[in-house]
Order: sequence, then structure tokens, then C-alpha cells
Amino acid sequence: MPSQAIISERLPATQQAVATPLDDMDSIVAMYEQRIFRFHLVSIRDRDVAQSLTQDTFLRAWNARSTFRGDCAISTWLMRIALNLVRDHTRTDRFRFWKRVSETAVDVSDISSHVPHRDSSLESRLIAHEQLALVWESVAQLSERQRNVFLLRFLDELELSEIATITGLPVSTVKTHLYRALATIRARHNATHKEDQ
Amino acid sequence: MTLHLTHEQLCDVILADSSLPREGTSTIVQDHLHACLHCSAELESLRASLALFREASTAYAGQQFVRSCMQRGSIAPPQHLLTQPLYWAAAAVLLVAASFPLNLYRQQQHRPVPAATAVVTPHTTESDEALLEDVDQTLSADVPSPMEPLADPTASSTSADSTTYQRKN
Repeated sequence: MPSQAIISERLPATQQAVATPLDDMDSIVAMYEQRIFRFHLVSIRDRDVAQSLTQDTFLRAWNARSTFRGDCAISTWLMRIALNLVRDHTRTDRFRFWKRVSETAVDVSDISSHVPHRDSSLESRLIAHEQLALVWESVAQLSERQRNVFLLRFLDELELSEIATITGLPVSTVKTHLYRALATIRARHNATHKEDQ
Repeated sequence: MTLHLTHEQLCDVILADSSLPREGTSTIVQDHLHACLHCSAELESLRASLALFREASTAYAGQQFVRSCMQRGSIAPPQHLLTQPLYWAAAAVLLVAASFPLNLYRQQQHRPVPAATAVVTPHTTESDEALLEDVDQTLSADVPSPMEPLADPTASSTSADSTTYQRKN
């Protein structure tokens, strides 16, 4: 039996009456699950937590589907839920989060093995690994809001107006956060280049 | 003194966003980037770093996503939990603690049922009757003759009197 049928059987008649674009949750999960998981994984840097938060994101979306008015894209709405979950997790479980990180953390070496090798020369590969490590470590140093905005822009490649909708911030504030995040990365970038020279 | 792009100008180039209106400085910035090797090199380096970050993170997340999907199909706990002896010890203690009251309950259930509910077969009925007869015989044999109940001496006269009385009436 499809999950849609099971869900509609269990719901009271009053809730069944209002159809929402989120009723077909199977399709929505199939379409956005990987993207939501990626955001959680790079934000939290823990696979188990990322998996759990991804499930929570869709569970919350399903429970609150009646509040979805359709004034933004479903992906935007889901990312907003995901962002709130990351915020809740890092705020309430901050201490436990950092303790867990020491055991199951996603290390920069894990990521480095996925660097695309367009050029097979050893030197270029070393440079690529160094550049990646620089950004990876810099992102960890950012404030919570800067990191969220940075990841929405440079990981999910969202436009500033969409980031503003997700975060509930004005576009100018989003830009300011991005300027600061890039300033951190740029400072480390320049420092590394000076050391190399 | 050579002038370079400000941080905001450099960021605006990196953040080039189609959703935002183009500002008038973009042409000036582009001209400067064509002319200044320092700024263009830094811009390219930053862009390359950010692209590497995105590509590597996406590839890694994709691999982890597949792994998570494969693990989700199984109901077994994570492997790192199974390999830790502390968890095994805790599981054993819990198992013993849970099975103890269960065993007590089972023992209570298997106690013999009272004889009242036993099924009476013809064979047992016959043996019971024979046993009762034996008991009667034994009892009657054990009673000495002086202790036997006396016959009612007035039995015959009473019946005769009553007959007489009826006749009189």
C-alpha cells in the first residue's frame, strides 16, 4: 500500500480536506533528501547527526504541511526547516556536539580524498588539498550565522534573495555576513600565500 | 602606489548574483581585473578554493548519503556499538534482568491444577466403589457384637397398637 494511502487513512476528516503540495511526501523526500543531508553534513560535520536531522526535517515538514502557503518554493521551505534544526542542535547540544565531533567528526582528510583531479601533477594536487583545507578550516571558525549563509551560497549555490527568504534576513544583511565570511577566508588565504613565498 | 579592488568589490565579483541589479561599478571592476594581475590572481585563487570546497563537499556528502541509505535498510545497530564490550555487558545485564521476572511468571503458570477439574474415567469409578465396599466391610467387621445397634423391642407392639387404635376409630 502506498504511504499516501496509509497517511490519508489515519488522518481525521478535517485534515484530509485540505490538500497541500507537500502531501506527496515520498516524491519530495526523493527529490530533496540528498540536498538536505548534504547541508546538514557540512554544517554539523557528523554523519549520524546529519542523517537524524535530515529525517527530522521531513518529519517537521510533514507535520507542518498545512502551514505551507506556497509563497516560496518547497526547497526554500525545507531549507528553512533544516536551518532551524541545525541552529537548535548547535545551540542546545553545543557541548555534546563538540564532544561527539572528536569521535565521528568529518575530518578535512575525509573531504580531501574527494578533490577532483583535473590535473594529475603532484604539485597541483597538493595545492588543491591545501586550498580545500584552508576553506574547510575557515568555515569552522565562522560564526553560526555567517557559516549558514556561507554554506547556502557556496555549497547550495542559492541566490542572495533566496538566502534572505530562508534566513529571514534582509538581502543587505546576508551580503554583510558573506563579506565577513569571505574576509576570514581571504585573510587565511593571503597568510598562507605569504608563508609559501 | 597601486590601487587594488576593495574587499567588497572583490566579494561582489565572487558573489555575482543574477537576482540582484547590476551596479554601476561592475564595469570599472571588470576593467581593473583585466589590468591588475594581483587582483585577478587573487580572485581566481579564491574562486578555485571555493569551487574545490563545493565539489569535494558535494562528492563526500553524496558518498555518505549512499552509505546512510544502505545502512538504513538494516535494523542492526551501528557497527561501532556492536564492537564495544561495555555495550555487550550492559545488554547482557538487561537481558538477565528482563528474563528473571519472566521465569517466575512461567513457573507460576506451570503449577499442578487442583484435582477437582480432573476427568473421571469409568476405570477410576469402579476402583472407587470397590474401595468404598472394602471400607464398609472392614468397618462392619471391626465392630464387636456387643456394640452393634440393638433391635427396637417396641417395633412389633407399636405397630400392633396402632392397628388396634385404627380399628377402634
